[in-house]
Amino acid sequence: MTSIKNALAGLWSLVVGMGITGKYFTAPLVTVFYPRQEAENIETYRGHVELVGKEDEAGVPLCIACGQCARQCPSQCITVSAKVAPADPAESKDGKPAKPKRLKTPGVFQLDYNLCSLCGQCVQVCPVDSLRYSNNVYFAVFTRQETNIDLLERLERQAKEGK
Amino acid sequence: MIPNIAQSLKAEAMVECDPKTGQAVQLRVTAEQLLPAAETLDAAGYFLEDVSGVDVQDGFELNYHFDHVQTPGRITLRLMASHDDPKAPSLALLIPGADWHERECYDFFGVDFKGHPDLKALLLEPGTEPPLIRDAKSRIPAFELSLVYPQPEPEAADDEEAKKAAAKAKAKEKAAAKAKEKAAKADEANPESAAAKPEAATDGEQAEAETPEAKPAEADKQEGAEQ
Amino acid sequence: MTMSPQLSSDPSDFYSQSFSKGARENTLILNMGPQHPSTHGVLRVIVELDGEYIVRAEPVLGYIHRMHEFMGQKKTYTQYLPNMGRVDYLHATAWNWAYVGAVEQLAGIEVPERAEYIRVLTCEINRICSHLVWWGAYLLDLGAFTPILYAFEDREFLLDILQRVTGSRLTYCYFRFGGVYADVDDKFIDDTRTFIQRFRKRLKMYEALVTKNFILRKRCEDIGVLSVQTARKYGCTGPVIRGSGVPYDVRRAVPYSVYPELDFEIPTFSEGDAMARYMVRLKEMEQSLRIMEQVMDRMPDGDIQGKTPKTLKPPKGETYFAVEGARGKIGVHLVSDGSATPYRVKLRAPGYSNLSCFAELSKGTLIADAVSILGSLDLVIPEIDR
Ligand code: SF4
Ligand code: SF4
Repeated sequence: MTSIKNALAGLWSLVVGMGITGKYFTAPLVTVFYPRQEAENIETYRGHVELVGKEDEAGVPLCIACGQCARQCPSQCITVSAKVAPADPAESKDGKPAKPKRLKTPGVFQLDYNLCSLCGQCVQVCPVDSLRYSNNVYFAVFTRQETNIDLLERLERQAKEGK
Repeated sequence: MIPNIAQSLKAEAMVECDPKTGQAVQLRVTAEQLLPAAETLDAAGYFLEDVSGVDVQDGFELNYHFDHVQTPGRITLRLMASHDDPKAPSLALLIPGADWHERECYDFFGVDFKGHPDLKALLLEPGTEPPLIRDAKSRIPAFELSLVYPQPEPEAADDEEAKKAAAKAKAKEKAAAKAKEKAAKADEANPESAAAKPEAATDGEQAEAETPEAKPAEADKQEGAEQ
Repeated sequence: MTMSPQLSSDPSDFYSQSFSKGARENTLILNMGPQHPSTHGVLRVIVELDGEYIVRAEPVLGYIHRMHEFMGQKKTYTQYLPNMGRVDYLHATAWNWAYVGAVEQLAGIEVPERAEYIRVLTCEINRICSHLVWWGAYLLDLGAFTPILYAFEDREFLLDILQRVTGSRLTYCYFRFGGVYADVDDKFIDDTRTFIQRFRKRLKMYEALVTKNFILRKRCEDIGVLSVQTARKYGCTGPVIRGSGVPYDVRRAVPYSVYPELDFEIPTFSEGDAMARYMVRLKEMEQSLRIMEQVMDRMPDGDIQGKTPKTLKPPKGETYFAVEGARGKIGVHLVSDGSATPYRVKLRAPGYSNLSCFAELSKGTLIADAVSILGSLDLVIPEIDR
């Protein structure tokens, strides 16, 4: 007797399950058809880091080329070096040529996104808040070298596009 | 508070720990004392959390962390295996959970666990150079890790150190006092559990009396602070 | 069973090492994994079968071993933070917490109250995420395909919520020494409240769809019975030991952060079988919802980042800090030599101990049941291998 009851209860549980599946079968879609539609929450996504431009001069980063971000980075994926101004002959003393001057703006700013773990330590350590996360989520490349992003170039491009 | 069970263990040295260390009590054991100690702990319902090796000047220190499911309070058994011939008795037959922890230590430090039923590489490729062995220069002395090791005489000139030590000693006294209260309460609250323990009805006083090794070091430090 | 000559001649191969001597007549040695759907990642289990019954089973680890403990000795304290999210990708915030908590305990860093509440909140959200993945994947192991789609639909909401504050969707690196990376905003709170409403209903649906389903019950009940004694001897923690009737939860046993102020239960089932472990996790999700509600009601205003020195150099000494992850007790044993780099970081992964009892649990069971047992232990292989 009990075994028949159990079997019936078991079968009923299957019917209930099928009922739920049936209900969701007719429910509206919850997925997004990617190339035609995009997810809505991209602005909160923190993708690779990018440079922040100056307020009056959007193509020039705030960065003072101190190199702290490169040192702090756990994966050593930032390469930054200061722009070097050519020596000014007028400044030469006693016949010795003047030393080239390190400017307080980066000449090279590369990010190897391949290695980046998106930890945000470079963003936090920067003394002038020159780094921020981009929301570049659809980031696809054909070769590994292309993940090595030139952030200066990216900033200039963004400035031009008026972003 | 030193759990009663810890007092019944045979060990070279025992100290009660600062809450900052996240442990209740540490015991320095020899290779012979390890198995009986683990056996007592196991019988009292403790479980082995992990075996954590640390490479220090004196050798490979193996930290056996035990904890209890009902009365939490980490008990650490510390065993030193020498650098030249790192070996330790295996707990794997007694506590099957120790099996993998020991194999991990064998992988990372090359410690040979005597009596392990199947000691072979677990996480690393067999034959890999143990990766966590440090070079001799960067090793720290064992006494910096724990008070179970004889501490060097604090120098009077080293004011800061002495102050810190004094503060620590004070904190310890406080903790001991608190622990006493707690123990008393706990015993009242559930007399059964207290009775179930092998050596019940001992309290902080005895605990203090049982740490002769730790005491002189503390006293020294206090003197240092006064100077 | 005869072995192929390459295998038996290669002394470093695990298969030949342990099983060539041991294989008996009339038994079959079967290799499951490392690329087996039911071993969730890259676990390899070698089983010796007598018919369909398991005579002996032995997990082989190390396929995704990354030596996180060694990395800890090479990086500075802050640089090691992102590693934590990668140890256990399903409950990354708990690992964040275990490491950050250990450093804070050693260096005596204070955490502002708001940050503590945010930590609890994100940790519980992440716990539900982890349980949902487990739930879906476990049922997938047992042959039910639909549930994982429901589970991932719900998880998607949580990932969106977490993305708002952490910026990522899986390998969070969100906790900082003395606080958290970013503050939560109103939208975060609103979304979480909406989710709680929704998820309560969904849990009922899960119960009707799956938990009461008698096929599932047949696959889980009385399978892989783990006694309290065995669980303890193997150092099992988390839902595994709670499924054996021991109400051991680090959040209650050794309370940290603001958990003592929160009102929640520790679901425990005494049967010790796969079904009990299943039920523990389902009930835990309900409790996590309760915790989240309380945390949001009580969250004070204030800072999210306490004072921390710029280059962190904890004093000499050692510490052990444990938190409750989705799989059990996560422990970090940290030794400092007073420099900016940890002297030693030992990570105690709960899954490591939980999996170690598999050999004993699976002895004498059908191979199909072994899959059920393996799933019920909730394994995340990167965490086990570290
Ligand atoms: S986010 Fe982290 S890993 Fe990436 S560049 Fe910044 S510091 Fe380096
Ligand atoms: S981005 Fe910031 S931290 Fe990095 S070099 Fe420039 S100023 Fe320094």
